[in-house]
Amino acid sequence: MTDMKTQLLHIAVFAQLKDCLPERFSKEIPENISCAGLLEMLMAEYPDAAPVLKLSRIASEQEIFNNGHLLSGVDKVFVLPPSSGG
Amino acid sequence: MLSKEELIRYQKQISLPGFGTAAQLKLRQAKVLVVGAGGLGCPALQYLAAAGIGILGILDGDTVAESNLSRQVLYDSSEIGRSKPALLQNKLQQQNPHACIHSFAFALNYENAGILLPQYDLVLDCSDNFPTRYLINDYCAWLRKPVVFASVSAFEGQVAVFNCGNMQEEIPLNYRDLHPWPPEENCIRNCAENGVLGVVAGITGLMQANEAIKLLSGTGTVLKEQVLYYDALSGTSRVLRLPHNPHNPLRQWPDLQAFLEQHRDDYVMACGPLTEEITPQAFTALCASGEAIQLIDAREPEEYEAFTLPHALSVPFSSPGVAVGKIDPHKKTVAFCNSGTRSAQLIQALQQKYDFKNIFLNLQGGLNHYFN
Repeated sequence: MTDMKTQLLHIAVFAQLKDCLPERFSKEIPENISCAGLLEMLMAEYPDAAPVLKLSRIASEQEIFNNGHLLSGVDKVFVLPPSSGG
Repeated sequence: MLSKEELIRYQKQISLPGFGTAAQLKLRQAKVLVVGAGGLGCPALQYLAAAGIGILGILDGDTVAESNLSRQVLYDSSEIGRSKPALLQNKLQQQNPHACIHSFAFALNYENAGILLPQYDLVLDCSDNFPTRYLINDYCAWLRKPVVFASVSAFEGQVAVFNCGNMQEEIPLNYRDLHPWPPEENCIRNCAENGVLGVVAGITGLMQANEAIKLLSGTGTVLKEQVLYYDALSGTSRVLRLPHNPHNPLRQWPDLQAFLEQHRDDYVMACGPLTEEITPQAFTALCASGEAIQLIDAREPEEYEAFTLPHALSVPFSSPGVAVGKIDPHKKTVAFCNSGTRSAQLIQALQQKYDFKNIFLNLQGGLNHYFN
């Protein structure tokens, strides 16, 4: 049996997610996890934020990733929920 | 050709490198609709009018409230309770007599969107709720009309230009590439519930106006296929590339008009306390019981004509006034639409605006659940 490889990911959350998650935190994640997988991990860890996380997007410093995007090699992400305020 | 007065008025921007009278003329020829005259709409409208946009439409169904005044800086205390678009029409017309300002003192809905949106070159989404945002997005995607989107939350703002760029594409990049589906009701708080720093709405609304001016005048580059996130607490902004999203439902429908029609309940804003509901099973039992009930179909007349439940009255949610005289004010009443949203709003309108005292029940999940 081989150990699952992990990587350290720095996470910053935006907008309403700051109510339920730390604004910035770091987390060991499986090396080949997708954005959808990361969101599922966060939903399990922060169930109160799950309805908002379900609609949120993961982005790097340059690009908003589609949910199937693999995060291997990415060391920092933003979690972007929708907002409707005007 | 610009008049002497216009040349003097716009001198400072005409003299900018790459702008000139050609860009100013493009602004004068432009027709821009601003949906929402609140925290984003006020700054955006003020600068769009000042910059020389030829025709400017202001759409908002709200009146001024005291809690608006810290961020909606074109209104003052003496104007509380008055219609926002009418007030702004006067103010902006005085600010720039060259502009032609139209005001629409009602909320955007599925029906009036089809009349208003095609009349403008560009739409600014300054609204404050998801149903309106998705309505603007979906309608403008269908019309291939550019939208300058912005929203604010607490200390943050976001801005993007949608339906712009490669117009040969079947469906240009739009808001559903960012967030494919609207949230469940009450999942995401709006400014009224969540709070927002007035200056954040001001900065974000001005960035919206800036994108509109660049897009219309052909100056600079706009935030197409990108989203700008602004964080006032750190004083930073990030521009993130937004790729096409394979889950954007608009690209999965061969006919966008059919998509709009099918999802029209999503564009209706639920509000206020929920109406009492009746489940489809309980509704079936109630019908079988022989109790005298009245059925109201809250959908549009063409939907009613196509299909309805036996003996249902047509009282369209969008214009109940025409049909309220047919409603028996003493009978227990079940209202329905496709999903239960329009009928809930109709019940509220009948109770609050028309003062009906009937026992009203809203068919839970509408016809969609009833027949499934």
